[in-house]
Amino acid sequence: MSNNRNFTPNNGKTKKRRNERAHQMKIYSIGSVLILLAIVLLLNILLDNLLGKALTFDFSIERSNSISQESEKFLETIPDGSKIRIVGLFEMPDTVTDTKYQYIVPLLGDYVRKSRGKVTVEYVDIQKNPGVISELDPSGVYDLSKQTGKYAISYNGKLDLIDPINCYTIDTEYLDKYDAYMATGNNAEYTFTNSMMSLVKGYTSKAYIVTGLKEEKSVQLKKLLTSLGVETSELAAASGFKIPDDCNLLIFNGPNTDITESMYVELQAYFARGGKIIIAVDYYIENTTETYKNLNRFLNALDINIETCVVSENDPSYQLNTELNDSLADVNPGFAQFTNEKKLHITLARPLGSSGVHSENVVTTPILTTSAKATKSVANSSNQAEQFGSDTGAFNVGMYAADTKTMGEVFVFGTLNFTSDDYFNKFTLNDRDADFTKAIVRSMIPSSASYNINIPVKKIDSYMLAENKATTSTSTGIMIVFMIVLPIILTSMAVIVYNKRKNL
Amino acid sequence: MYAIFKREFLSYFRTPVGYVAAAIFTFISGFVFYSLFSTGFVSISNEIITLCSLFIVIVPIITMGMFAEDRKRGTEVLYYSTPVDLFSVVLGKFLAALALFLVMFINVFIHMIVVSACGGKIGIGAWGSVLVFFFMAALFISIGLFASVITDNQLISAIVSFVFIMVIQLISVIGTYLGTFVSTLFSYMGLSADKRNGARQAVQNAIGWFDPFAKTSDFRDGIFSVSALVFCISFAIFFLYLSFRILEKKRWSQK
Repeated sequence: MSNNRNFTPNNGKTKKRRNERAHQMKIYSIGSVLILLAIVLLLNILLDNLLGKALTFDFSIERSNSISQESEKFLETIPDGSKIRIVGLFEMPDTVTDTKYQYIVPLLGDYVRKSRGKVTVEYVDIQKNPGVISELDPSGVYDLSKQTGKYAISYNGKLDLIDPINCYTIDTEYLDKYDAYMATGNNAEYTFTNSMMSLVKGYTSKAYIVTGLKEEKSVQLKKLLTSLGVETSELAAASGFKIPDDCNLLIFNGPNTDITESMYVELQAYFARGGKIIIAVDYYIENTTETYKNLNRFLNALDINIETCVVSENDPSYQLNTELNDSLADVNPGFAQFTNEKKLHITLARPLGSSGVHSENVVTTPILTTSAKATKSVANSSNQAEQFGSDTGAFNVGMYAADTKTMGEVFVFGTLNFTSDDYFNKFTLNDRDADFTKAIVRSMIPSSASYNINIPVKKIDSYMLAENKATTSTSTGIMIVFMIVLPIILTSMAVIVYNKRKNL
Repeated sequence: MYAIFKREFLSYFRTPVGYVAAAIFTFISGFVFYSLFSTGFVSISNEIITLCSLFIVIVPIITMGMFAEDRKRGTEVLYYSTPVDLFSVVLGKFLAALALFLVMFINVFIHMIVVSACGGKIGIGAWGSVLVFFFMAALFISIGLFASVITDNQLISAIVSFVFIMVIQLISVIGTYLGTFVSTLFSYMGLSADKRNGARQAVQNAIGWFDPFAKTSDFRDGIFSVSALVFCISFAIFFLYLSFRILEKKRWSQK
């Protein structure tokens, strides 16, 4: 008892010492864990922000996930403080592998990394966050609510849309055979860099739209041209009509009256010095009697003649909504580079015939042609369509003429579907016809081509198995071995081990 | 450490745990492979990435008994009463679990051989995905091991690691929701759309920064980022150290 009493003070000391040691241990433990956590966070933040780019290596085929030096050089030219906002109009999928976004998502990440804050990329589900639509397109020209799945590129109020499928070259034979896309090459960097470039470079070309001919409104057409970096201006059809020297493109958008004699002379002179012209007319109430005498004088020299009638499409496979005057027309293979579509939409189209004049150095090619079952109609005095002539056949409703010597070019359309507000308001500026117009403008504007960066098409990984080896029987064998035999063996072993242990 | 590694690794095959985990992995990887193979296009990286979502099931199974089993058998006291370095114990168990993943992964290597034999392609992305798989496995095993250390019950340990891994797998979604929440909150406060979007993006980025899946997603496309691997391994080390500290605390509080 006495011993116990004697030890009491010592036990208290030991306990106190133990408590102190436990307290010190606790502080040491918590401190060391916090320090390690801080080191881990700091290390990762530093690596991410300072060395992330240097320690990232693209081993993919042809470095398809990295931007090339050409794109990097372009990014350096973007003014400091400017921002290109790229918005994927869709929710980012968990995995992009084997989707049309596979080569785009990582590439855009590289734009962000190498642009030093000048390019941002985000993915927004426009159904969940409709606010982004008004941010990107306040005037609603692009009808972004219907553009899910595409990329919107915005810079200083200007906008461009990119459909991911247009970032690839497609196996057209496969498309015809299976009605599905098979990518053969990756064009994503070319598409995005040039789109950004046209937005950033601003107006490097100027288009004049001729007014004063009771023409169509051109509000949407101007927006389309602006999105391509083309400045637009109006050119009145006054008596002293003069095409300015800075005119890179002259557009007649649905004139309902003919041009004057002096305009004809000026037009001829403009073409002779290498001018680029787009002429679009149609056949409608306001112009059913208009023969475009002077305009045809100019075009006749190029073996084109605007006829005074309308094409009626009688082939049901070309008709839209069983309308005779609202149909599809075949795209001439020579213009396949302008569109992925094989047919384009035409409405109230005048046929464009041959004038029979074959000038030296002038090459004339049809762009759009109806089916072989089309006929021509005219409006009678009560504006009802009447069969015109007895011909049934394929009629050209889009023609192209170029002077190989002066490099003058003319695109003529017998329909307004490629230029008019009516059409673009209904079908938006992302319609196939609008895309065709964009491609035409890009091809004609020389300054646009001069700043176009040429980035070669990159190869695409193919994970296709050999058809003679990846057969149904091989597939079944794989299922049996990997999904039945091996799991059963392993489960049996688990049961055996469990029983053995149970008996221990 | 080697002795502990060896003992732990073999113990997976002396109990049904290793076989059950391997059977589940074999069946699911087989299913994924068969699904791809039957389409005529096989991207192994696709298969591996799909398998990464299996961590939520496999890791709790493997790690739930790491320390809880010792506690149940009463062998835990040996770690505390013998002059063995507890970090070696933690590391040994961690490496044993990782080795079990390697054994299970033999399935995928066999799939690769089948693909090559059938004229398919094993691209650089496939090897990138293999790398990611093991670094992610290391991260999740360390989390599972930590869950095993902090609880006495195997089931609770499994649930804790399951929840941890689920949160990590959903971290980007959580970030998106929180970002939207912050943006909505700011709209009630009358802030401009620019500021709201900025705040939403900032919250999403800050939370998304912790998402190892997002950090490593580029590997499958052939883009190898050292910082993503460092992220996985550094947080794995952190959780291992955390587990070690807890064990140390237990050792010194033994009576």
